[in-house]
Amino acid sequence: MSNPSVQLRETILVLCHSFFHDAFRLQKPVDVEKFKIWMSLRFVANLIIERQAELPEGQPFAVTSKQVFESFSQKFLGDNPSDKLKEAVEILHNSISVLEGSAISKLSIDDSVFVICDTLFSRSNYEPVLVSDIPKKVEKAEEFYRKKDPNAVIPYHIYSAVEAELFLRGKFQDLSTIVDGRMKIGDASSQQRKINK
Amino acid sequence: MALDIRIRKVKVLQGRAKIEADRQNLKPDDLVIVTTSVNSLPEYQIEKIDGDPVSYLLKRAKD
Repeated sequence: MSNPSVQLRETILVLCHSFFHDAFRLQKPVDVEKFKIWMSLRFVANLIIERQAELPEGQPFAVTSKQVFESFSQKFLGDNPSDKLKEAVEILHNSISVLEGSAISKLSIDDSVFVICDTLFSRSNYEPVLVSDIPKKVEKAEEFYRKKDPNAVIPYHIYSAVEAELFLRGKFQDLSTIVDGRMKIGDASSQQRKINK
Repeated sequence: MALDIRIRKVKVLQGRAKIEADRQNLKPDDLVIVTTSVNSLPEYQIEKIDGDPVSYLLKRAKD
């Protein structure tokens, strides 16, 4: 018999700056290993947009801090961005909940995402998953927690791009099939454009 | 400049945005960019996304 007091936690992705810089890079990486990671990040980014597109507005599936998003958007836009480039950033901003507040905005880029994860885990029925491809992210999170308690453990998962893709494929199987289909079409039309040039 | 621009799935659209999507013969699972602008009444421009949204957005930004 199920326990009525146990609530199922809703998955929410918390995105660190490495996610944005790598998933939305304009050029495909040449290095094979980097290409695999980039493909995983593309899959995760597409799945986020796909899921957010059908959720009610105001119900986030992926979140980040204002300083993380601004660090990405400033680099992505560069100097004198076109209107279409600005629109791309605006669309991403509307697919990902960008959190700001006096307490969060004083924190470093790293600490801001740890605080978001901890708050979502401790105060709500969310199951946060931090997506980061920075190898030392787990160590940084442990450092963050052990400032106050040397025995503290990280209460949420920290997944690399490849791990996040596997997790999302297991959790959202139908949506993953749709994303795969769209990515195949996107890839085929990109190849066709190259042939036509 | 648009009041709002975001990606939505056709099946969740309502009202005049849905009418515009139907006029373009879009399918319920199609992804679209909905641009909302205001000229006394809100106006909804619907642009179908071909392929995956990330590649489409990047290509759209470069063109």
